[in-house]
Amino acid sequence: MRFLLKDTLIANKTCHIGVIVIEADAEEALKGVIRMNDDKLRDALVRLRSGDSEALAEIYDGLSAPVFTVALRITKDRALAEDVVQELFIKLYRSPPEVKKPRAYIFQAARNTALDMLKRNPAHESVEEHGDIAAPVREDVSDVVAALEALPEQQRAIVTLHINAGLKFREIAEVTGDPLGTVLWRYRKALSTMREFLIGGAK
Amino acid sequence: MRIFAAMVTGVLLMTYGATCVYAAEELMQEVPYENSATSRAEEVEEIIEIDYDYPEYIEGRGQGGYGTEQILEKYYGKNGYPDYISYAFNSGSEWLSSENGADAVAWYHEVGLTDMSEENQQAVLAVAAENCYVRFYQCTWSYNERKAVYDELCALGINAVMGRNTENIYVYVDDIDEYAELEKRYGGMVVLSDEAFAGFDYTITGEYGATGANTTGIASVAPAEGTEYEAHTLMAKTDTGAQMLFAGAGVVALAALAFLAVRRPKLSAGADGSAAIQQTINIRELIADSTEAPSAEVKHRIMSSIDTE
Repeated sequence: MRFLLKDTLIANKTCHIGVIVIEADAEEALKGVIRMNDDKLRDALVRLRSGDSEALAEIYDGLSAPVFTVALRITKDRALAEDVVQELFIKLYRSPPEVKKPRAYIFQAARNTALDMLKRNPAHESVEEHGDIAAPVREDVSDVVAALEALPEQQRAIVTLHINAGLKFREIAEVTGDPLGTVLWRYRKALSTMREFLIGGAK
Repeated sequence: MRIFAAMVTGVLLMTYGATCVYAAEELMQEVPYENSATSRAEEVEEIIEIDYDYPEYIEGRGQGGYGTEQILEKYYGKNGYPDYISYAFNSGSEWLSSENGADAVAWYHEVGLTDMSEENQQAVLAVAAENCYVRFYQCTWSYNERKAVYDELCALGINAVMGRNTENIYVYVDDIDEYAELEKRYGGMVVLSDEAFAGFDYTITGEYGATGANTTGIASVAPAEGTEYEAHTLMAKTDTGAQMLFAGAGVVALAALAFLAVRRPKLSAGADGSAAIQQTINIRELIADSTEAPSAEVKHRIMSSIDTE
């Protein structure tokens, strides 16, 4: 709760400091629980197509955390990542997709939106300027974030899409446009590199 | 008194060291490095997450003029690979039901082409049977080019494996830096990997014998996530235990001779090992825990925005 409050007050550039609503299940979202699978998402999208804004709220509650994490890993900037989330969900409301694998579709869109956002804002304020609000609370988690940041972009994207976003390797292959074998190899390489980074190469 | 204290310290060090070694060996026995046939399928499923929902792979299906080959890899293995093909991998199959209720098996393939021309794609589809669905990928090296490099590496005694659904050759070594030259020499075709991952790649079965890869016919699979790390941690623990055994014995010997004022050995001598001897980190869990949520204001902005539309 404290983490979210600080984030809101400082990261919010337009200073809409009014009533700040903290979702009761925010902590669950922070743990990376993927609560919206393809079936639930398809049902919600069907309702969204008929203009049900509650459906958008449901989709947001289920996917905002992993989408934000994917965007954050690419942009490395919380404010930009939040803009990505905002832009993506508004687009989703306006044009709900009708696809077989909506989760993979949404994360691909998140990735593309983040890359576009990065191109449009190359000199945006970095995470470091916001001080400690960017750092996760637990030291071991901040270590693993540092290890992630040290990875090449392609490997970082695959790890984030698989673990934080919950996509299967086959879905990631479609999102990134790489062959499945390459995705698997990069994933293994990434974990191996992170392991060495975290334990200092001890074997 | 100091000699007695040094002797006690030495004995304690030896005892702790022996415990480390014994415990490490005991725990290593529990590491499921041996893969039984019954667990293999589950582990492969977990690692590659087979998804039998394949509509996306329907693209590329030929329209008429079907061949008869259901397993393209077998066909090219027997008849030779044309120069425009890098790999032809059977990525799975599923049962389909037709409108009249009859069931049929659909075979899915991933084919790498060095030249993605329509002509080459049609040439592959012309070989494939009617129930084959093919997806094409752009590649740099042909199968024949890779085979030549693979043969060179094998002649040098290097543990190389031809990827069945990538255009790479994997080389598994214990010291990647030592073999870095290989990656440079072969311009990206050769990919170095830690030998701990040898056998992890589910494509290394050589089941069809076409790739020339290891032909054990067994898809050996690495332990579940976290287990391998634990094995490495335990290896470090064993090393530290052995060091402490010798250190303890040395201290006892020195004390017994009573020629030196022995200072208490720093337990932090094992600091490097202690750093490694930490709780098994499940990296995946930590990465999952690193998931962050946007500020609550974002949802407020989104919902306000759509309310005004």
